[in-house]
Parts: sequence; structure tokens; C-alpha cells
Amino acid sequence: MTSLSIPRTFGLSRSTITPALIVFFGGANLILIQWVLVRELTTLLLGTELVTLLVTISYFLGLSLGYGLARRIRRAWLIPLAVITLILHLTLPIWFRLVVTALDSMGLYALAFLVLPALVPLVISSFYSVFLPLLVDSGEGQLPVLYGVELLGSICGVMILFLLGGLGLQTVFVFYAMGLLLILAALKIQPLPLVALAIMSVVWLLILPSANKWSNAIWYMQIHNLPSGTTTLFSSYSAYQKVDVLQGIGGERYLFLDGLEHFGGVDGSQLNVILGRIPAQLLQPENALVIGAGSMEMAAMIADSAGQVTTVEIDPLVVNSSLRYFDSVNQMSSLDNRRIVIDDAKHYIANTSDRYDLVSTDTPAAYAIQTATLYSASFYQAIAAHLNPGGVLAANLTSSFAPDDEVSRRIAASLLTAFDEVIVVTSQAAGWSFAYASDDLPFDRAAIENALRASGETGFVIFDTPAVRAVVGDARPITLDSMDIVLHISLDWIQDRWN
Amino acid sequence: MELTRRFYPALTGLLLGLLQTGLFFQLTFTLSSSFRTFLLVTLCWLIGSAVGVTYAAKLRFPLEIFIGLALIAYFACAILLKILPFGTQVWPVYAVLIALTGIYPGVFFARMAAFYTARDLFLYENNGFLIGLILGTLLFMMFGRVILFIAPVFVAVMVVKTGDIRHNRAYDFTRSADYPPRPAG
Repeated sequence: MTSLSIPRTFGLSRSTITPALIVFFGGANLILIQWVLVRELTTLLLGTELVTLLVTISYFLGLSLGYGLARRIRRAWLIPLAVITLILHLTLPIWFRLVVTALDSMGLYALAFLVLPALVPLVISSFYSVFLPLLVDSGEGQLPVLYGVELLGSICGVMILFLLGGLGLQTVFVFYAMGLLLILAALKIQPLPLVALAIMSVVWLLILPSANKWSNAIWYMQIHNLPSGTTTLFSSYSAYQKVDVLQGIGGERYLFLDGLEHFGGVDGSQLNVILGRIPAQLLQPENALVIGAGSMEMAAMIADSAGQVTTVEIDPLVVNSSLRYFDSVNQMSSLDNRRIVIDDAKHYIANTSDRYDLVSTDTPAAYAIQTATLYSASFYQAIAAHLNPGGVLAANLTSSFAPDDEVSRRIAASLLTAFDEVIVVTSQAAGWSFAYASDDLPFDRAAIENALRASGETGFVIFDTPAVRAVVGDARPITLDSMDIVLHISLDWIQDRWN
Repeated sequence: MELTRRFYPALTGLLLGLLQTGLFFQLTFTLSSSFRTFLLVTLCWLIGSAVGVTYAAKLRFPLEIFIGLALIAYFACAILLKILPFGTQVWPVYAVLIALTGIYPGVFFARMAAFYTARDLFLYENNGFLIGLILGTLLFMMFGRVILFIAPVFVAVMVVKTGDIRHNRAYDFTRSADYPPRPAG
């Protein structure tokens, strides 16, 4: 059917390598480096669904590149390529950040959307995908056997991330470096260079935490215009995202999730005032729920007026960093009427028997499909089913509510499928609009106005339910079958960067 | 014929990309978005593939049987999610279903090794897989969940038809003199 003869001069001989060892650690390392790559690159390109897709495309293109080049790779090239790979990969987060910082300082940030995805196939994933076809096609092993071993390596890589990924980048890179050094050993590198590389790796891994924090702060100061002298207090990858806590020279602290600001300065607090403090003061809820932790300032504001506040957050790293670095705003160490549940909010709402007087949301905007589900009609309907009579949902519309704003209109449309009454507040201080939704709102427009003024908010607009319905017009609710909103937001976001 | 030769692994990759995307979206929407779900899909798929490549490939069933098994397991996941949304207590069932879906790629690679160079096989399959990931994600965002159900079936039919393109079951190795697979090279 097809010619299977591959010139053996391009292959490896059994006497010089251990094929199974190479593909096993290759499989494991591909998983480990993908973990680092996706989180780092998604952050650098200010993660949206399309950015995540772009990163994934780059990664898999790299695999194809490696497969395609396999028959052209000579034995003598493998050790130098492995050494280069070791250096480039262990320093990847640092030099990727510095490249983007340099581009932005030249006013060329948008080029990062081309440069980084173009670099990934060349320097990240292609190296490891060379081995399997090279070894099989040169007769060093049978495909079913070597592919099975590579799959086992991949399974080990996933288990390392699951069991030890929470310990941080340094730990992941320890395993990564060990894997690549063992591949080098299998390729029969001379002992002296191998020992030298091992020592260099150890030294680098000891320096890495400092270099990581330094380059992180440089990137944030450049891209987010944080004040000079800003330092990184905490930076780590979670199972879901990159979590960064930074501190300015004045002591002000910022929380970033995948490079997007989640809390920082006055604007962030005003969001928590409108979605947390004001409805809590008006309702005096016995039982309140906050969806999404963030800085947990919102939960603290609600706790001042509530019997019990539960925060449900999917990412334990966000909770831990918030407890550790934002105690001055969330007062977690002193409040005793609060609890935290680590769970997916959709799963939690579907399975809890608790009912609430107030549910407030503190979730990222619908930049990705997963976060968009937290603005869907079905999710709001599930929340409505867990509200006590007169209970209120306070939700973020994530943009300024207006007839020409698709995002806020569609979120409001989702709310209208679940609630009879929806009042929207556009806050000048926060720059976004927010909604109070209920089947029977226990407070009126005048009460909201008074509370907003008392909070120091001067420039605001309030839309009552008929006005909300009029502005929403024919906008479709967000559902699991109409996630085009994510595509639009992602495209607008990238377009903004180009402009 | 050369085009068909390349097309077949690419189509298979496309099918696998769609199945994996579909499983991930379905489970994160109506089971849980937590890391456990990601782990469930990734690990069980890999384990299924390992079983497929090392053991199931030796069974004397035609490849279509494994495609059918993958689709049945895929739709069983969808039905179970519909019956029991956010029912994480039955995750072992999902684990088995995902592993059953993952057996097909393992069998595919093991059997195709006799007919393709590893380089060609992985290259074309990976290209198709990549297209499957892209199409699965973009089409889902544009047209909703219906894509997750229609596209895999449509592509699976194409895979079977392409494998049988000359009506002599050119790629059905269990019926050919080349089966069981022999070492390449």
C-alpha cells in the first residue's frame, strides 16, 4: 500500500539510545510544558477564549512540525536540540514576558499576538514530537509499543500536575528538568556536559522564584501601567489560571487573574459596594451567597449586614491568595459569620439545598466559554430557584448598559428570563452597569438612589424594569446554545489591542 | 489515491478532535467545570488510548466497531448528563465512557502502523485533530450544542466511508493479509 522504508542513516540505533525512555519522558514533558505555556501565554495575551484557542493551535502546530521534520532530523542534532530546549523551556515564562514588555514599550503590543504564537511551534512543542516517528520509522521500536509508552508518560505528566502542580512553577520545572536530563542521558550525552547541565538547572531553579517575580512585575508595570516600583507579592499557576498579586509603592494591592485585573484601586471597591454592600444594607439578609471570591471584599461588605455569608469559588489558589494578601479588605481573619466553599458555582447551586436572601456575583466577564456560562439564562434560573421569597440576585453586566451594547443587553436578557423585576444601575465610578433582579424586589428605585448617594456615588443612572426591557429589546439571552457572545467579546478584545 | 491516503488519518484526527472537544464542553457545562472534570477527560482518554494501542488493537474486530463504540460511549455521556445534570456522584461511569471513547484512537494508531510511516500517520492525524479542536470550538460558539452531536456523527460516517473508499475495505486490516500489524521499517 505504501512504502515504509526510511533511510536508516537518519535514524537512531538501539545501541545509542533507549527509545522507550525517550518517548516516556517526552510524553510527560509535553504535558508539563503545555501546562506552563497555556497559562503564561494566555496571561501575556490577556486571555480570552480566542487567545486560548490560538495558544492551543500553536501548540498542536508545533507537534505537526515535529512530526513533519522527524525524517530530516539527524542523530547528531538531537543532543544540541535537547540542550537548547532545556534552556528555552526552563526560562520560558521570563523571556516570554520580556519579549511582550519590549514589544509594548515600542508601541507594538499587538505584534505579540503574532510573534508568540509563531514562536511556540518552533521552540516549544515540536522538539518532543520528533522522537516517536523518528524512532518508529528507523526501526528502533514498534509503533504500538512506543506510542503506548508515550501515552503512559503523558498519564504520569497529568498525575504530576494533579498531585504536585499546586506547589508551583518551581516544582513543575524540577520534574520537567529531570525528564529532559534523562532524555539527554538516553541520547548518550557525555557525562561531564550532563552534570554541568544538571548543576545549571539546579542553580536556575533556585533563582527562578526571584526571576519570576521580577519579570512579572516588569510586565504588569508596562502592560497595565502600574506605578514604578510595583512588586510581585505572589504569582502562581492554578489548575484554572495564573493568579498574580502585586503591590504598589503606596501599599495598594492588585489581584490579576490570567493577566486581567480582578481587584485593584477604587474602581474595584465600587463594584463590591454596588453588588455587595448596598443590597446587603437594603435587605439585611439572613443568608447570603457570593459567587466568585476575588479579593473577597464583597463578601466582607455583605457580612457587615448579613447573618451568614457563603463564598463559592472554583479555584482554591484564588481563595488562598486572597486570604493571605487581602485581609485588610476582606477582614477574613476577624469575621466569624462567613464560610468558603471550593466548588464550581453551577455544580454548587445545582446540588445545595440552601436558600438565600441575597446572591451576589463576583465573577470574571464572559471572556471565555466557561465564564460565560455564569451569565447564562439557565444559571440565573438555577439561582432564582434558590432564593427565598423577596430574595435578590445582584449581578454584574460587565459593560455599560445601553441600546448599542450587546454584552450588557444580553446579560440583562438572561436575567429577564429568570426574574420578573430587573433594575439596572450604571455607575460612573465603576464604569460598568449592575443589576438587581428578583421576582419581587423588596426595595425600590428611591432606596437604591439613597444608598448610592450614601456610598459616595454621584454620577449614576438607574433603569427600572420597563426601561430595562425597552433597552434589552430583541437581544437574545445567553444560553449554552448561543455562546457567540464569547466570540464577539474575544474578537473585540483582540481588535482593541490592535487599535 | 495519495490524497485519500492522507485524508483518512486526517479525517480520523478531525473526528477525535470533535469528540474530545465535545466531551470537554458537555462535561464542564453540565457536570462540573472543576479541574477534576479536565482530569477525568484527559486521564481516561489517555488510559483508553493506552488500552486500545496495547490490547484492543489485537482483537479481531474491524475498526468500525471501535468507531461505533466511541460514538455510543460519547452519546451515553450526553444522555447521562441530560438525565442527571451535575451528578458528580456518577463520575466513575463517565470515566468508563470516556475511556471507551479513547480506545478507538489507540486501535487506530496500532493498526495503521502497518500501512503508514509513523511520521505520516501522526502528522496527518494531528493536523486533522487540530482542525477538529478549532472547528468544534468555533462552531459550538456560533451554532450551539447541536454541533457537538451532529458533527461527530457526520465525520464518523465520512471516516468509515473513506476507509471503505474502494469498496474493498482497504483499511480494514482484520480482513487483510497484512493483519496483525508488523513492525514498520
